[in-house]
Amino acid sequence: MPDLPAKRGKKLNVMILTAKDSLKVFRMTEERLEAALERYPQVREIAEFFIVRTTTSYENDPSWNDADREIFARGIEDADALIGYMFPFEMIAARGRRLKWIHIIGAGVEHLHPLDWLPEGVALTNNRGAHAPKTYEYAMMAMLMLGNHMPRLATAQRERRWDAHFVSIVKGGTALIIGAGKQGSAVAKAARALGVTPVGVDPLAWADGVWDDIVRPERLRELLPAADYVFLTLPATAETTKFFGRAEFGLMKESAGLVNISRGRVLDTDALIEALDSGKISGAVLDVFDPEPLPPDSPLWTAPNLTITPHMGCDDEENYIHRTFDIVMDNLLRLNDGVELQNKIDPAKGY
Amino acid sequence: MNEEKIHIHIENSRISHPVFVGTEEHVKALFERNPDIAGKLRVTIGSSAYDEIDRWTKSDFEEYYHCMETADVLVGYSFPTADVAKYAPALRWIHFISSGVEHMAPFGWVPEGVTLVNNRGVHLPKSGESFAMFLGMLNAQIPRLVTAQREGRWDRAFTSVIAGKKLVVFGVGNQGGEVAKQAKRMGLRVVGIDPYVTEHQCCDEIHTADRMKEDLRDADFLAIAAPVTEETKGIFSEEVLSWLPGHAGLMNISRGALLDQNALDRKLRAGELSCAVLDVFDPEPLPPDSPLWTTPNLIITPHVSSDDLVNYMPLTLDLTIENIRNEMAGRPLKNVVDIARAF
Repeated sequence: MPDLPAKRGKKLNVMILTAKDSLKVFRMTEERLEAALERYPQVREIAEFFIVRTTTSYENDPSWNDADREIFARGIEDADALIGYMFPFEMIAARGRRLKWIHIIGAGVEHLHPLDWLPEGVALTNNRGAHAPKTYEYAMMAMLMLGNHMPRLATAQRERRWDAHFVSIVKGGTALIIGAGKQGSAVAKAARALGVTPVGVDPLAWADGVWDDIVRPERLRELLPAADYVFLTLPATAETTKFFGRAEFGLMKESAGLVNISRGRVLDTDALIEALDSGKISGAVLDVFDPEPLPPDSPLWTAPNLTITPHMGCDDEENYIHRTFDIVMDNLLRLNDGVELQNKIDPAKGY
Repeated sequence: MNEEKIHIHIENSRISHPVFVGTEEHVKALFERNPDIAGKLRVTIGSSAYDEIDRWTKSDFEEYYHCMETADVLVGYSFPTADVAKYAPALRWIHFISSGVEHMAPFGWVPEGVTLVNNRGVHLPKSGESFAMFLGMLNAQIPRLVTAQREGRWDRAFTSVIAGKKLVVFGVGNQGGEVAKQAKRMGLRVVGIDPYVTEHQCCDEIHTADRMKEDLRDADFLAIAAPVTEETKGIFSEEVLSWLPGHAGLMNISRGALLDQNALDRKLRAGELSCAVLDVFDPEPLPPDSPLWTTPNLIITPHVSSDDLVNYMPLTLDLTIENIRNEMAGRPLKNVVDIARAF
C-alpha cells in the first residue's frame, strides 16, 4: 500500500514544530533547514516548509501557553506533514485534516503511547539511523571503558585510591547486543572495528550486513554466559519494561559489563545496583534512565563501578538535526512519489 | 652441556604486579611457541624483594649473582649496577621489561660490549585500545561527566563526533605512533611533534617543537607520548598549556615528569581546559593527599593503560626470543636503547 496518492502540481505543506527552549542539539532552525535543502534541491519543487516555534517544548509535562496552542492549531490545519517530537494528540485528529505524515525527531516513540490517537491513514515515522555515527563512536568508547574497567577506576578515584588494576585487551571478546535495529547495528559495527564479535538478539531478522546471525530473544539465557559486553539497544514497549533484570545478571560472567543506550525503563535498576555492589559484574555504563533527569537522590549516583552519562551518548550536537533532515527530505520525496516511507512505526507494535 | 646453551636470566621483583612477573608457565609456553630453538636455551628465574637494590636481602643478592655468572641475557627491570662486567662476564644484552629506562640513568655503569634493549612495542596491542578509549572519552567529555556524577549533577553536555577534529601528538615514537594510528582510524587530523622523526604514515604533518605554539592553538586534543629526557622534563608548563584552546582535552600517557601537574590542576579548576586523562604521574603512586584526586574534569588511571594482564610477559619474552634469533642470524638487535638519549 502506498502511503498516499501523489498530488501533482501542489506542494506539500511541511510544519516544523520546534521550541525556543529547545537544546542546541535538537534545534530545528532556518539555517539547518536551508542546509538540508541545499543537499536535497529537488525537495524545493515539491514542498514548502513553515517553522512553528513555541515558547516551550510540549514534552512530558505539557507547558504551552495559549499563544503556543493557537499557532500550533493554525499550523496543523494547513499541514500535510508534521516534523516534531511532542504535541497535543487531540488536536491531530480534530484539526489535522490534511495531515498524511508525522515524523518524530527521536528514535524512541514510547512518549506517544498508546498510539490510539493516531488517525488512520496518517503515517508515523521515527528518527532511527540519525544517531548512527555518534552511536558508533559512543559504543566503541563504552566497550573499551568496560574492557578497561574504567568505571571501577573512576570509583577508586572518587575514594582517592591508587587501584593499579590491570586487565587484558578487548579484541577477541564477544558483545551481546539486545535489539538489532539501527542502534544495535551501529553498536555491532563498533564491535567489529575493535575485533569484538557482535551477536544480535531480536525477534526480527533485520537485513543489515553487519550481523552474522540474529538470534531470537528466547535464546538470550544461553548466550549471556559467553558475553563480555552486553548492550541494551531495544525499544521501550509494554513487553520490554524491566526486560533485563536479576535473572539476566545472574547469567553474566563476573568479568563482563553492561551498557544501556536505549531507554532507562528496559533495565531493572535495582538488579543492576545489586549486581555492581556484589561484584556479580565488573562494571556498567548507562546513558539512559527512568526517569530523566536522574533524581538527585537516586542510588545510581553512588553505585560502584558505574559510569553515568546523561543521555547524550548517541546525539551529535552538530549533526543530529542535519541527519534528521536527511531522513525528512528523503521521506518527502517518497511521500510525493507515493512510495513507502522509511522508518515507519507499526502502531500495533508501538515501534 | 649448559655452556652450549644460551642462558637467559629473568629477574623478577616480588613486589611487582603479576602482570610484570615472568613465570615457569610463561617459559614453558615460550618453548612451546619456539620448538626449533627451545633446546638451545636455558632460562633461570630469580626473584628479589624490591625494585630498590638497597632493600634486597642477602639471599636476593646471592641468587642473582649466582645466576648471572653464566647469563648471556638478562631480562629485568632493576638490578645492581656496580661491577656488572665482573659479576656477569658472559652478559651480552639486557632486556628491560619497561619502555622507559630512565630509572637506570646515567648509564656509566654499562660495560663495554653490553647492549641495552627496551620493551617498546610490546605494549602496543593494549595501549592502542587505551588510546582509542582516551580519545573517545576526551571527545565525549567523560572526565566532565564523571566529575558531575561525583557531585550528583545531571550535566547534559552534548558533543559531536570526533571525526574531523585535530590531535597533536607530542613524541612520535612507538607510543605516539600508536596514538596517531588510532586517531587516523577514528578520522582525526594528526600533527606530530618530534625532533627526530620527520615522517609517519599516520601523521598528516610532523613538526619540531619550535612550532608548538602554532600547532597547539587550534588543537582539539593533545597526547603527551614522549619519553622523559633532560629536554622534555617539565615541558608542558603552565605557559605551554595555555597555548591550547579552552575546549581542548589532553592525555598524558608517557611519563608524569613531562607535565606540570599543578599547572594542569589550576587550568582545569579555572575551566581554561576542558578535560584531561592522566595515566602517568610524578611521583607514582599518586600520594593520597595529592590535589589531583579532586581536580574537576580529570580522570586518573593508575598507570594501567599499556600493560596487558594476560599478554604482557608472553609478548616481552617473544621479543627476547626475536632478539636471540636476530643475534643467531647476525642481524642487529631490535629496540636497542640509545644511551646518549636514554630511550
